[in-house]
Formats: sequence, C-alpha cells, structure tokens
Amino acid sequence: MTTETGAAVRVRGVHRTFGQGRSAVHALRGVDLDVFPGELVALVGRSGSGKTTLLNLVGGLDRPDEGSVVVDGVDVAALTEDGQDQLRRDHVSFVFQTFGLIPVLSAAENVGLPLRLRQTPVAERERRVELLLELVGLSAHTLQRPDELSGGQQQRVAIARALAASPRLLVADEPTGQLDSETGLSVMALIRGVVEAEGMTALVATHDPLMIALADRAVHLVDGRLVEAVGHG
Amino acid sequence: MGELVRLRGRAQLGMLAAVMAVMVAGSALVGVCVLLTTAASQRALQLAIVHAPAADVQVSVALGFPENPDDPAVDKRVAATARDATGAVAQASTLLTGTFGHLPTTVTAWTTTIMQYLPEDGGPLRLAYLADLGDAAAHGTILSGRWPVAAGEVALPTSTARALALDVGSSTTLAAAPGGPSHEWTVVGTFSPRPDAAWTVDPLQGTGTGPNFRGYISAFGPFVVGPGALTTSTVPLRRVTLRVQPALEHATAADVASASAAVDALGGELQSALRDRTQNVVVDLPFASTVDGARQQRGVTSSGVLSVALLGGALAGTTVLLGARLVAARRASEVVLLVARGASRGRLVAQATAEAAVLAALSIAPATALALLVFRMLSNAVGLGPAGIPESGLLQLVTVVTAVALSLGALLVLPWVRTGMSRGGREDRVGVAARSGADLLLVALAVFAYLQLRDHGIATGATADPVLVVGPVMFLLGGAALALRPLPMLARRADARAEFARSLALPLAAWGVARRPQGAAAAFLVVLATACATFGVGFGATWAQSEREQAAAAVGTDLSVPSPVKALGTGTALRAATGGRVSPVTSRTVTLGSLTPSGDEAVRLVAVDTRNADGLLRGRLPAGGWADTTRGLAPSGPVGGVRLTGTSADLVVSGHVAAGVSITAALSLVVQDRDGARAALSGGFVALDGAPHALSVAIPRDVQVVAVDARLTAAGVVDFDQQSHTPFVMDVTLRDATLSTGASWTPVRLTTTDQVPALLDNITAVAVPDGVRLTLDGTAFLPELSWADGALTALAFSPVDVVPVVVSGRLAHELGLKVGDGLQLTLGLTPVPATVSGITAYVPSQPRAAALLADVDTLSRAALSHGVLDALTDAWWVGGTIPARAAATLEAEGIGPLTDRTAVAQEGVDGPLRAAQRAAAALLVAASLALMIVGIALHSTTSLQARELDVARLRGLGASRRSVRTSVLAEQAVLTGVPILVGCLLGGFACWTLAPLLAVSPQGLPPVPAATVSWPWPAQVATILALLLGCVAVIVPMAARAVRRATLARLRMDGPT
Repeated sequence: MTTETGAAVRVRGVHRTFGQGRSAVHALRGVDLDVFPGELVALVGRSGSGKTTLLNLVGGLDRPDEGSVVVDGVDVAALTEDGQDQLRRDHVSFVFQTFGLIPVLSAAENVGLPLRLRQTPVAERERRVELLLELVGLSAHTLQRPDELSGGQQQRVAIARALAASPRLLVADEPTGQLDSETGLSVMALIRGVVEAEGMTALVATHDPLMIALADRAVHLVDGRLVEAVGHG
Repeated sequence: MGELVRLRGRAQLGMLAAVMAVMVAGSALVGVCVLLTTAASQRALQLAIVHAPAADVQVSVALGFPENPDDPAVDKRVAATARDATGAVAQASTLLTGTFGHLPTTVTAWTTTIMQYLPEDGGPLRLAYLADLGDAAAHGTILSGRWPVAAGEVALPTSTARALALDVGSSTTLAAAPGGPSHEWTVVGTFSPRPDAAWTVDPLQGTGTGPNFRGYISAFGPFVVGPGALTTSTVPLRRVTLRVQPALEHATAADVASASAAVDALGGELQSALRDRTQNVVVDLPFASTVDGARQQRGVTSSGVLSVALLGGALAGTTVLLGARLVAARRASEVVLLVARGASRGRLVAQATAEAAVLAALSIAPATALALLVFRMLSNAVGLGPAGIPESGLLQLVTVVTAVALSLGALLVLPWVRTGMSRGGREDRVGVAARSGADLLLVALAVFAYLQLRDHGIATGATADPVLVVGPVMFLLGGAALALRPLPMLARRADARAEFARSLALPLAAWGVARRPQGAAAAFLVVLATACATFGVGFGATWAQSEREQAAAAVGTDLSVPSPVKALGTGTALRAATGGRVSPVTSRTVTLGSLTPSGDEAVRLVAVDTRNADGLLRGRLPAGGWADTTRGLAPSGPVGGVRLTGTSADLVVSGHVAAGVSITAALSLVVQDRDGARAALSGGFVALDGAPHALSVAIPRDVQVVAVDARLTAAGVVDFDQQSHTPFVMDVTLRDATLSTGASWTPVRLTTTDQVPALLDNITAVAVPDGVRLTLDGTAFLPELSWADGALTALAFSPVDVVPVVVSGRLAHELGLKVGDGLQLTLGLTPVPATVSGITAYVPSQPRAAALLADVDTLSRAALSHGVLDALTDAWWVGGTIPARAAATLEAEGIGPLTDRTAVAQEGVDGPLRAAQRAAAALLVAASLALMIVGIALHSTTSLQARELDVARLRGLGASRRSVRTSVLAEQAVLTGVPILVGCLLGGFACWTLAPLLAVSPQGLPPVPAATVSWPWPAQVATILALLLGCVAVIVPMAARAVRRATLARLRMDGPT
C-alpha cells in the first residue's frame, strides 16, 4: 500500500471551501500530507481547524475543490461513487466520535456489517466477529445493543467493526472525544495495539495530548493549513 | 408561548399543512355522510314519491250505504244521504284534496246504486244497477252509439247488452221491487270496459254479467248514466268512491313532507266527518303506504351511510395519529432543549393543545366547503340531481364538522400526553399492555357485533338502525386489531432468519420490521383501510345481487300483468308483443279450512303453468330449480272438448222432460284459449220444452269448449209431498264447431250426503253436419229442484278431485304441515281438497307470505270438477327477455300496468332511495385509498427521517446506494404489503360473514331469498391494485430521496468539524 512516494496516503495542494461569497468557509488551504504505511499519525488542531474535513477527503466521504488525495495509489477524488463505496468497503475504515453504531443491531451484528457488505460466508463471518469482539474485550457483550453499552464499550464495538474488513487504512475522528480520560486512554491503546498487530496505517484526528503521545507522528492543522509535526511518539 | 407556537408553525408549515389536510379530509368525509342522511335523504324521498306510479300516490274514500235504505232499522241520516249524497261527497272531496295543499289534484267519483229488478220474462228474477263513472270514456271504449248525456239515457257493457238482448235504441225498466213502480231507461250506447283498476269497485268487476251474484241470482250492469245523473235520480246510492290523484311533477321536498303529515291524519278526519251519514267509510291511502315504505327504505339506507361515517372517522383518526407522531419526531430535539431549559410536561401539553386548537379551527371552513362540494358531485353522480341544503341542514353540517375537527385535533395532543420515552428499539411495555387491552376489547366488541347482526330481524323504524350502523364498524375495527397480532411474531421469525443470511439488504429490512415498533399505527391504518375498501366493494356487489334476487322473488317472473276483465285472448297479445312464454296465473287470497286470516297473515294461492316452470318462474331457491320443485303438480290427462271458429258461439239447445214438469236451464260454456286460460261464458236461459232455442255467446278466436254447465230450475207448481225422479235430455248443438281429440266427456259428481236436485248421468258428443252436438242425459229430483238449483257440469277431461300443492316454508311452519298432509282450499264458496306435495322456501311473487303454489291447469280442472265456474285468471306472467318496446305495445292495447322484473331490480339498486348508500360506498373506497396513502406518506416521512443517520452510517461503511435503497424499500414493502394482504383477508372475511346479514330488504327485513356473498374479482383486483400502486407511488420516491439525502452530508454533520 504505497504511493509513488512510498506513502500510504498522499495529499497534495488540497483546498476545500464550504459555502459561497461572504459566508464561505475555507476549511483547508493547500494542505500537503504524507502518511506512510504502518504509521499512526495524529492530526492535531482546535475545533474548526479542518481535521474532520481532511479525514473525510482521505476517506472518500468528500471531494476537494483543488488538489489531489491518493490513497493506496488511487486518486480518491477521481473515483466514481461506486469506486468510493468500494474504497470504504475494502480499504478504508472509519471510527467516529459518536461511534456510528446502528441502534437496533447488537454488538455482534454491528461488527458483522462490513463482512455482510463483502458477502462473507456466514461461518467465516461469525468467526471473524467473535475474534474481533474478543480482541476488543467484549466477548461477554455480543448480544447487547448500543443503548445497553457504555460509551467506551460502544467505541470498542466501533473499532472492532472498523477492523472487520481488514482495512489498510484506519481513519478515526476524535475517537475518544466523548469518553472520560481513563476510557479514552484504553481506547487509544487499543487502536495503537491493533494498528501494530494488523500492520495497518492509521490517521487519527485528536486534540488529546495522551493520544498524541501514543502516535508515531503528529501533524498540526491551523486554520486549514498544515504545520509540521509537534512532537511524536 | 404563543410566539413560539406561531414561529414554529411558520417554520414547519409544510408538515402542519399536511396534518391539517388530513383533518380537513376526515371532517369533510363525516360531513358528507351527514348530508347524505339529511339533504340527500329528503331529496331521495321527494324523487321516489314524485316518480312513483300514479296508483301508488292516490288517496281515496268509499262511502257505503245500505242495500235497502227503506228498512226501518236504517238510520234516517244514512238513508237520507243515500238518496242525496251531494253534501257528503263535497265534504269528502275537500278533505281529500286538502291533503296535498297547493298541489294540483284530479278528483274522480264512481257512484253505483242499489240493485234493482229487471222486468220479469218468465224466468228467474234478475237484478241490475246504475252507475255514474265520472269520466266514462276513461274507463270504457264505446263500441256502438254514444255515451249518455240526458236523463233516462244509459250505456251498457256489450256483455250486458247481449245477455239482455238490448241494443242501441232499445229500452228497459228498472224497479225497486219485482213488479213495482219502475223507471224506463233507453240504451244509447254499448261499450267495452278498459283494463282498469277502477273496475274493482264495480259489483260485477266490469264483467257485465254475474250469473251467480251473491250465490243465488243473476245480476247485470252497470247501466252507465250521464255525469251527475244520479244526483237527480230517485234511486238510492249503494256506494260512492272518490279518488284523488295528485300531480307531483313540481312537488318539492317540503310539499311531500307536508302531504305525508296530512295524509297520516286523513283517515281519522274522514271517519269522524262522515261516519254518522254513511253505513261505512272505507279509506284507501296508497300515498301513505308509499311514503311509509319510502321512509323505511331511507332508514335502511341511512344505516349504511352512518357506518361509512364511523369507518371514515376511524381511518381519519388513525391517519391523524400518524401525523401527530411525525410532528413529535420532528420536534424531539426541540423538546429536549425545552425540557433542559425547565419546561414542564404540562407546558408542552398546553403548547400542543393550543396548536391543535388552531389547526382544528382552521380546518372547519375548508372542511365544510369540501363536504358541500363532494356532496354536490356525489348527488349528481348517483342520480339525485341538485339536492338543496336547507339552513338547518347547513347548521347541522357545520356542527358535525366542528366536532370532528376538534376530535381529530385532540388526537394531535396524544403523543405529548403519553408518559415516558420508549427505549431505543425495544417495545414500551406500558404501550404493549395498553394496546393489548384495547385490542382485546375491540375483538370482544367485534364478536358481539357479529352476534347482534346475526340475530337481528328487522331494521328499526324509519331512522338509522343502531345495529346496522355500529355492527360492521366494530367488526372491522376489532378485526384489524386482531389481524395485527400475528405480525410481530412473523417479524421475529424474519429477524431470526436474518442471522443466517450472507447479504445485508434483506436482513436489514427484517431487522427494521422486527425491531422498530413505531409501525403499529401505520400497519393498523393499512389493514383497516384495505379491509374497508375491499369490504365496501364486496358488500356493494352482494347487496346489488340480493336486490336483484329479491326483485325476482317478488315479481315471480320476468313480466307480470294483472288480467284484464276479459282474460281470454290476452295471452296472444302478450306473446306477440314479447315473444316470451306466457301463462295465465291465479294469484289471490284463499281460505284454508276454517282459517280466514287477513293482511300479512293471509294465505295466498299462486297457480301457474308448471310445465314451463324454469322458463316462467324466477327467484333463486336454496337448492334445485323451480322445475324440480313443481314436478308432479301439472295434470297428465288430456283435455278434449269442442273447437270453435269465429267470434261467436252459436248454439241450439233443446231439452226434453216428462210431461207436467217445467224446467229451465241457465247454460254456460266454459271455454279455453290457446294459452290455457278458461272462463265461463253465460249462454242464457232455455226452457226444456222440447223446442229448439237459439243462443249466441261472444267468444274470442281460437277457443275450445272444455265444459258445459247447466243450472236447472223447476218452474210452475210443484207438489212438495210428491217425490219424483224425472229423467231429462238436453241437446246442445254448437254450430261451426269440431270435436277435439283427447278425453271423452265426463259428468261431475259432487261428493255430498244431501239429496241433489239433479244428476247428470251421461254425456255424448258427436259430430253433426253443422257442428257438434252434446247430449246430456240426467235425472231431475222433485220437489228438491223447486227450492235449489240443480248444478250439472260436463267436463271434457277427467275430473280432478285433489289439487297437489307446494307450500311455502312459512305456511308449513305455521300449520305444522309435511308432505302428504291434506288441506282444504276454498275457491269462492266451494271447498276444494288439496294435498301437500312439497315444501319450498317461498312461492314466486309471494316471498314472505304463507302461500301455496299449484299448477293453473290442475287448479282449474279441480275447480270445475267441484262445480266452481269462477274465473281463476288473475294475472298473466311472461318468461323470457322482454323487448324494450313491449311495454308501449301492450299499454296501447290496454294491457297493464306492467311489472317488469328487471325494472324492479333496477329500481332497487339504482333508485333514489338507495342512492345515498351507493354514494357512501364509493366514498368509503375513495376515502380508504386516500387516507391510507396520506397515512403511509406521513409514517414513511417519520420513519425514513429517523433512518437517515443509519443510512448514512451504512454508506460510510461502503454500502452502495442501491443496496441501501433495496433494504429500505424491502422494509417498507413488508410494512405495507403484509398489512395490505391482511387487510384483503379481513375485508373478505368481513364480507363473507357480514354482507349477507347487512343486505336487508328495502323495508329492513331479512331478504328473501337469503343473500349470498358476491365477490367481484375484477373490481377487487382493481381496488387492491389501486391501493398497492398508491403506496408504491408514495414510498418509492420518498425512500429514494431519503437515501439520497442521508449519505455524505448527513455523515459530515454527525461530528465536529
């Protein structure tokens, strides 16, 4: 999983503006970023700095107004809608601040969603789900629905779901934003652990110092511009 | 608070407008139903009365006077009125015409005098009477001479003139007593009575002759005098019949209502005004019966309309609840904010109540206007035309619309009143418990409703029947609640099976169905609306079929006409005009044994040509056909007789009897036309003195003599102490006649233990050069013959002693009859034995009566075999397809009034008194479709909005737009399709169980024959397709739009930027 520069993710000269005229918001102004395979990169910045916008562009949830985003050698902005769906299905997984679980499905059913999208055989899917829930320490909570789990447990389910399809790139947007510090630390340690274990690349938006400390490298976004690393793990 | 309500209302205008549209539609629906039971009902009554046959809207009174006003026992005022009835007639006329207010009326009077004596001619005494027909030309066709104008002038029926050997220019006298002072009358014309119901008041029913009047004397007449001649005559009156015919073409609903009220009191007013001056006052008020019947029909119709109103209200209420849920869902985040800022639940309820009140108030005017518009469209569509709405009706409409709008508005507040929030995805246990209780209550009510309908006998009164109104509503509501019960179980099974699926789309749909409980109200609406629509279509078809079957049973055949006075030859005219099978019919009240009930309890006898039963008789039987039912009733033996040509039967009669004995014979020929109708024609009187006597009898063409009747009377001085048996021989030679092949001649032998005055021993019939000669050999017994007539009847067929009959179920039940039991019919004054050969559900043309069905040929043979010469042809029935022009052809020939089965059926289905029911049924189907689609749209809006985030999350995981849309559509298809299927099954079940119970007769009685379910597949398929396509048209675009909206933008909005 590399670009021609060897990066798993290469962002060049990306601009993204929301709205028009006087009410236009320049979320990103000429951002350049490389994330190399196996790296856990922390994307740091205050609220409104453009972190989520950059993550959405990398994950194919949005398209830049200018510039390019190449993930695993594929120009994401040039993909069709089906291409972007496939990117998110097979190569890129998201973890959201609000967990993003389907409320009427159990933990196991939520984790199994990406595998159903890939038409994985039932037995294999069930094995994989069991393995992932064990990995995140929720073997005893497979049948519980999100409203029966704590915030930390819900985020663990989300992480397990994100890992279900064995993605090459994990994108997490403030994964510990709604958690207390102790729970957040355990979740970040989990992310760190699975990134190393699965050999995947991770791009995590955060303003949590503890999260930054666990990252290989941190890049700073200020008013839509990227400022080089502010310390890294 | 008001500012919040105003601002929020402006921001959510579209949503609130949709909810208000449902409130307007629901209120208008109920409003239309109210108008159908008020304004349309009045209009229907008006149309029914205005277009009723003339005979059904008359009022009449008959003033009767004693036969002998000179009797000292007769009240002097009565006797005086009998001689001068001018004042009484004027008073009666005023009362009758006053019934109809300002409406134009035509008054006709029919006056007959007491019987008077004709001049003696050496034979038995003979009676005759005078009559003033009012407009004589309307009741008879002058054949020679003219109608009388001057005093002393009379016109005679041709049969009377012939019998009395009178013609234009000849004179005769009438006296109050034999040999007493007489008055001379000059014949200025002869006429033929028109087939006219008015002749029923004539003592001889328009026949002109009555050989056996009152059982012992010959009578002739009427001697028709000029208009008003009887007022100056000294002859006392016997009867005055006044008939008032209103002209209703321009009568308004108010005129009809006013006349209805006046006619209710008319009978009493006539009695109290006239009873001290008459022997009796007989009032006949067909107008009142017609109005009562129409009111009863109206009540039955109103029941159906009010049922639709209740069902429509339930549908509208359910739809409003779905709208309330949409509003609550839209404002969920706002509520969280307000509660966090300290707003109490009471305050939230108050805000919701204020908003609901505003919506309800705003709904009233458009709902009223919509109700008026839809009502006018429906009125025109069902043939009621412009139905004006009185001021009181408008006030009633506004009141009802307001009440419904407020009720629907109250439902909007319901979600805010309910405590607690449901835990995400799990069912609210309180809600489940509440629903269970309500469901079970509805089911109990549904069962109760069915039992009430099943045992319900008669629709109550002229207003709507509560059982007919509420029964179907309870059944459908309870059925819908019960039908939903299995759905969660089915959903859970689908949920369980989803685990074993590889894909995502269908398992997602199954999870959505099984785990999102908010679809219950939508499912209830779909089930109820589908059930209402399919039940409405099925009931409409069942009811229409039942109306047609009831018409067939009530008419009994395809075309029925009352028999003209002269029945012979009528069949030929009917066959020429219609091309159908024709039969003379006996249809009259009879006495069974000692039973002489009257009115609804009277026993009716119907006799028809049962050899053509399947071609003539109509009306569905529970099993088999009429041919099977009437098998064995027709006689098997042939009919012989003497065939005559021409239009006159010329006879030469001579008789020989022992010297010293003087006997006269009153001769009658019983002739039969080619259709089997028989009638006794009086030939006149002859003395058995050895000399030939020439007689002439007017006959129709193509008849044959099937019986000869002679009534012997001894004349002269008889030694009462000397018993003697005197043989006699009577030769009757019929000129221009031929012998028919078939049975030989047989004498009638009456079964009696008394000594008969005469016996007929033998009859021979031989062909002679100028015709056929019948020789009757018999024995006369003296002195018996001097005080009783000797009745001798020779038959050209084997005598029939017992008449086989089929009895109706009602008669069999009332008398405990079974097959093989014997009965005794009384024809005229003569008992005729009968035997029960079968029991049928009902007798054609007498669906509710205690009745007997016989073969007309058998009955006629039996009557003649027992010496009964009375005509038995009361009507003619025609079987087959009746050409449209036949009615005009027959009425031009004076044959009528006609009763056409298809016209009666058409009136029952499409008549004005059932128009409101047809309109309501159409309204129910349309409202079910519209409210269901709106409800589905409201529910889908709510549920799809709630799914937006989930859809976005799935797209974020890489699910394609197509797979997500497939999942959403599959879920909606199950949530809609399964309830539609369940609703169809419920509607079908309701139709199967309830429709036959609800299809009552126009009078609110259980129909005869009992209604059977009709399920019109094409109409039902079209209805279900319309429901499905309506749902598809709503759900597919909404689901596609929701999936489009719920993708990337929704995900981007889900987190901080």
